[in-house]
Amino acid sequence: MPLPTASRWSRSGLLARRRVVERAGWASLVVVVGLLVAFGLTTGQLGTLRIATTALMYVVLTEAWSVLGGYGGYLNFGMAMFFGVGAYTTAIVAKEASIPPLETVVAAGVVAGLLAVAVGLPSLRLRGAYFAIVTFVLTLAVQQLVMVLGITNGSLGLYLQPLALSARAADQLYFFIFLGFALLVALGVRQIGRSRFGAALVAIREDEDAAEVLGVPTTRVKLIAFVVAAVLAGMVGCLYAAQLYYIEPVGTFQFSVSLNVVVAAIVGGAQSWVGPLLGASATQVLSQELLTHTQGVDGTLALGGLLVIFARFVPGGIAGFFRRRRGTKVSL
Amino acid sequence: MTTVFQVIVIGLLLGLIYTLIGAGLTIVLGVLRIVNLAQGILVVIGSFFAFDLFTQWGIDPILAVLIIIPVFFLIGGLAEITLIRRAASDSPDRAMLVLFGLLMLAEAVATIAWTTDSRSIGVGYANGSLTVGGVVIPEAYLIMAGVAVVVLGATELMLYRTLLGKALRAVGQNRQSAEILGINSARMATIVFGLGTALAGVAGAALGVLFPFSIQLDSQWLAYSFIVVLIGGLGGIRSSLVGGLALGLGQAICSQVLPLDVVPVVLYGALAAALVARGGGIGLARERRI
Repeated sequence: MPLPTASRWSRSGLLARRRVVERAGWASLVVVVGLLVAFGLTTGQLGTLRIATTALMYVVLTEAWSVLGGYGGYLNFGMAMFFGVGAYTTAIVAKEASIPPLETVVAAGVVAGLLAVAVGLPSLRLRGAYFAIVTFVLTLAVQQLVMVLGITNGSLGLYLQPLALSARAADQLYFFIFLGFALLVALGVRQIGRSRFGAALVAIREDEDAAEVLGVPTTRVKLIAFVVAAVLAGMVGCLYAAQLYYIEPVGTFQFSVSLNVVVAAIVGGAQSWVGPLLGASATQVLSQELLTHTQGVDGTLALGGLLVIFARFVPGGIAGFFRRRRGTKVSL
Repeated sequence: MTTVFQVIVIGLLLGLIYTLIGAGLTIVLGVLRIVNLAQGILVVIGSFFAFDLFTQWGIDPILAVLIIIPVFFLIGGLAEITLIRRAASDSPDRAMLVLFGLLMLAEAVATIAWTTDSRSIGVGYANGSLTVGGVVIPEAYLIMAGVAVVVLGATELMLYRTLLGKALRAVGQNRQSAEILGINSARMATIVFGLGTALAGVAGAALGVLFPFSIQLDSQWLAYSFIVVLIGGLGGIRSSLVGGLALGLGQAICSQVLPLDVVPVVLYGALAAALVARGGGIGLARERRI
């Protein structure tokens, strides 16, 4: 939580300055969204459009992650699990009920959310690093389970019905879906940050025992934050499966989904809703560009390097860096 | 009956090697409260090291261990001094994130250096076996378990019979008090990290002789080391031994009675079930630090 420190400015001057910065921030958000809409409507470069879509997908995932991970300080390495479960729910429900994949988005979110309740109830009693370990191991467990189950067709994977649209129209559709989704989730996370619930999470991050003593129902608050992240990740998984119309266990549950989210959150700064926007776009555009141009592991190399640098030298991420420049102090 | 003994022997020998993977994680976690997410990739790099030493210079993996230990100790110590120390002073979670970044870097570099191909170390004793009362003991398992016992025993002696070990344990129990008593806790942190890294390297060499390996195995080894810690707790080498042997036996039994591709599901699933049943049982284990 940002604490005002002795600053060069008087309190009223600081507030006025902050208002200016805030207005500039909103204005630039509107401009960026406007540019993205124009780009999505007019572009002919489908490759770039897909990179932008992936970046927006990671904006949603990272914003969702930041509720528990940023406000609450609990590192969740299991986003890939909920993402994959959402994707598989979509594939299975769409096939069994013969409905278009996009209409299963609620089912995907619900199943991922239920899994989060089942996983979160025992594991959220664990503190700090142990929670991270459990989410990591469970991701592997679910992936292995999908490999051997009949309904998921094992390692062969499942096919979905593609939309009856041209490649360009479909890419544009998913771009706008993810753009809208990202905006909604980002603003939702902003609201959470200003709510009692957000304050409870920050209290847990700062000192969980003290929060408990002061009457914060810590386990319930953490569980809700965990389920929010899972539901959103499940819905993203649904959209991913619908867009790709083929899913298989290794690609869908790849640990790199969890990994990209964590890197994006740390690079952007997970303590405010702005950080994930910046972090996810920056890291994804960078790694996707490297991937398309060099065909190698340079993406991993760049992300790993960024993570080491930011975790070691820039504790608040990009967003925290600017906030500190404005005369407030950030911790963690 | 012979089958039962067979399974138990294999399980125990394998368990000793799994203990090595878990011991590195346990020591770092117990003393420094840092989860070394790079443990899995370090194990794989250990395997590749042993592979290169064997194929390039004809050094047997048993002797390669003598080279791997100092090299990996240096790597771990340097990483602690340059990158992890500062982050750890902020919070253990931040150090974990730095290690996460190092994991990605190491994975990328290892992929460039060794490609993603699967390899195996073809030592002379790889396919030999002894038969004792009907029970077939593969020589490679026996030899590598012997290496594990020697390395684990030396670590245990160092931790409990030397002044250095006492200092390390003191830092694990209460860092501030240890510093007041004149222990250089920063240097202890470096040593602990080097030690954990060296144990991972030795485990890598041992596993490289037993199984074919590739870089993608890193998340499996990381998961196995987590399982060892989650079962055994953080009581040092002895609790790693409990976790490691349980994992080895569990795996050997499952492989005997279940189809091969279901084994990982059962292992990870049993872990999840144990967590639910014990309900934060790790919280108890956490109190029993080294």
